[in-house]
Amino acid sequence: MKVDNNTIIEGIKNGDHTIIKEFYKTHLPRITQYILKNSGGLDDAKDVFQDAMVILFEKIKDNSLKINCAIGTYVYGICKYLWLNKLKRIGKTELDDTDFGRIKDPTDDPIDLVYKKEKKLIIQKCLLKLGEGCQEILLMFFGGYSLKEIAKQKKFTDGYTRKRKFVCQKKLIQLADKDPVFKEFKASF
Amino acid sequence: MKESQNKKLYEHIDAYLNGELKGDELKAFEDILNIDDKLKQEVEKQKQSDKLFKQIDAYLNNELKEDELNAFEELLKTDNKLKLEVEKYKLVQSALKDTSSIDFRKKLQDIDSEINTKVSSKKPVFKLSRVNWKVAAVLVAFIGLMSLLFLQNRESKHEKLFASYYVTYPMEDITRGEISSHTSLNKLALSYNNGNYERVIELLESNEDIETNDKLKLYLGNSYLNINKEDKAIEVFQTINTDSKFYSDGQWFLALTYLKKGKKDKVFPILENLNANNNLYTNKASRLIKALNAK
Repeated sequence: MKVDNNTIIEGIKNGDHTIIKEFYKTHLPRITQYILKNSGGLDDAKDVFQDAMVILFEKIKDNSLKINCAIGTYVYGICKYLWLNKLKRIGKTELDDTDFGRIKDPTDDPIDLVYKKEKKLIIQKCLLKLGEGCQEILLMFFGGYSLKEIAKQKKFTDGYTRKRKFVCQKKLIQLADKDPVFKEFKASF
Repeated sequence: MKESQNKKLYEHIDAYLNGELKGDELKAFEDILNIDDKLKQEVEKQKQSDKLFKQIDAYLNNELKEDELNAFEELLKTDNKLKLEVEKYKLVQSALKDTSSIDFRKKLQDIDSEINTKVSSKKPVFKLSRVNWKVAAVLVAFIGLMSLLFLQNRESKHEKLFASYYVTYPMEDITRGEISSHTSLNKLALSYNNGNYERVIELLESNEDIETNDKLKLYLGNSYLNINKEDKAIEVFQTINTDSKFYSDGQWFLALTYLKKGKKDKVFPILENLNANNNLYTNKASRLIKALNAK
């Protein structure tokens, strides 16, 4: 069944499980095909696809999505850019630079967008790799709760809460540091 | 030291500094620490890094006293490592504030697990505990034999190989410079990506760029192949010349088209040529040659 752009946009905006799942099921295979063809694996495909979906979600959320193609095509474009960028970073040269240059066309909106967001995406991804306890304390802290409030709510001592937050945040940064994007970021200082 | 050992060591040091080592474990760690200078250095390094982290935490949460704040800001002007850590902290701050994006990603991960569970639960599971094993075994063997015969009758080896090797050439980004009309570019991408190959053929056959643009030829050939017009596909793929950067792509699809038609004698020389030269299809060509040679 073909679903039009507006239905998908509304579905994503409202967190409609069925529509998002349908979109996921329909479009992941094509991205997978592309990534497998270009030196990647199944996990890379999922990773890249989910990143692109989050980027789409953010564009929808702040009402800045302006496209004149099917959403699937737009997501595919972002995925390709994300993947080519990753390949370039890890030094795989199987793709020639003309392809890369073409995608960097200034009229191509996703690039600038992705560039600005990729570190944020990595941190959010790393957060979900932490244990639930760590996720909760970090989200509460950065969501605006003070350590005292967290301690009270979680029935921890103040000292333990401070230490726990410190340990969790350190783990998060250690995970992010392993990503090539962060390695590059480090090298720029 | 291998990376995994390194990681373990750091985790151990972390646990020690966080007061998570207890009893014998703690005693053992301290005993080694007393005699191993390298470990001592590592612990010291980690301690410093923790201290720095705590300082940044205090700095960004406005918890430093005035003199501490001045000293920190002074240091920040010259110390690049500190600057980097502060930037990373700020990134964490902004990334974790945005809980809606994190929730959306969680949703995607849940959906992915749902799909995977569904796929794996689709695999047939026979509960044989209460079934007569002999009857079941005979049945399974019979069904297996029947399906094998059925499949062999339905699909030739060539068709099966074609199905497992053929993936439609993905639509790359075409810039406006590559094709004359921008409108037809959008239409082309939409039709191709939605599997409307008749429309793609219509658009490309009437496009003057098709004569000179080998990438467009690949889309056209693949479109013909997808609607079972193999002879037309062959014609198109054959027009991609040896000096084109899409030559190996064209040859690969040409080989697959011949394979689909069951023309094994035509497939081999093309695959051997691809296998002999270093290109994206070298490995696939080699695998396909082996598969075709296998009984």
